[in-house]
Amino acid sequence: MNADALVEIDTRDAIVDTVLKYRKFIRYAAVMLAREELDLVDDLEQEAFILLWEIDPSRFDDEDGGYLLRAIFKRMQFKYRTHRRAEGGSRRVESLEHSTHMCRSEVDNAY
Amino acid sequence: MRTLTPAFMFSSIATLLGTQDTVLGSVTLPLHFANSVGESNLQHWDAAFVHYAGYWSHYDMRTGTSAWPFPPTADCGELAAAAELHGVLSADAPQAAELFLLWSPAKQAFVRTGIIVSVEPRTLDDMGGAPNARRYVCHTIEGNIGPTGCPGGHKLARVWRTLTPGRGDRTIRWMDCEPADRFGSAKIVRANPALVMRVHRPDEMNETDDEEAA
Repeated sequence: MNADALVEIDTRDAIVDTVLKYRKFIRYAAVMLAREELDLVDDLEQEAFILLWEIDPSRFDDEDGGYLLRAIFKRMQFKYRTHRRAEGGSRRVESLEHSTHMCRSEVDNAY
Repeated sequence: MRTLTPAFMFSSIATLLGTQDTVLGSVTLPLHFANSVGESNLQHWDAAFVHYAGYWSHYDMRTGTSAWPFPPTADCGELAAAAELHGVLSADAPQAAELFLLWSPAKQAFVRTGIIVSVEPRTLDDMGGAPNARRYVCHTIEGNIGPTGCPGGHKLARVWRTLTPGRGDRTIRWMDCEPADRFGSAKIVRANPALVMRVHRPDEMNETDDEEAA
């Protein structure tokens, strides 16, 4: 009997897995939301990673991909709006609506 | 009648971990767990494993009955409802030997269960420091688990898992139950689906919606 043969799993690995799986979507959504504000792209991506850490992707299976993508996008959208408010204006609302539409299409196409 | 005792449960689980690759005739151990609660497939057998371990660790040879108080089920929702009927479904900090129930906001249901072996003393503050908003890193034993802790797979495993009562996760303090009587009260409390929804009140079902409203 070899006790070392027992499987040991760390569910934090699911975060890495999920980031790798949705990396392209996260990058795309961040670029679409931030547009020409390139320094904001990394912040939005970071926000997506924080969300994944918080919600623990190990509680989701393959069927829940659509839910995860929507949650990621809503979190990035919220971060973007917070940033805009801090900047003191809503001059980019129009482009935000456009980005939202584009990213939702991506989600719908993926699922 | 045996009393409900974590030591019985742990020794039973240790034996199952050590023999999990055993094939009984043509039946693998996970399939045996599933069959024991009336399931014929291996899609979800984590709750069946918990029932198997609980039932046989509290089986009394003299009376031919088990003190395990929960009904045979492969459904985490039914397990939660039965725990609620016994008054042992908890949103407090997890403790060793309790069963955990993992909540899925996508499915709006409990999707996984297992046994908590130990709880790290350090908690990870998540949502503002409210008592049940903390994240607890637990060492658990689970069945039906994939390589990263996601559902699926045909192994029992030792798992490092983060539980967050504020996001809907719950524990079952089965040690506080009345043991099942010799007439099989465990079967009588078989849950009805309406109760499953009634018992669950996560404090934060969908954080992103709240943020949106803010």
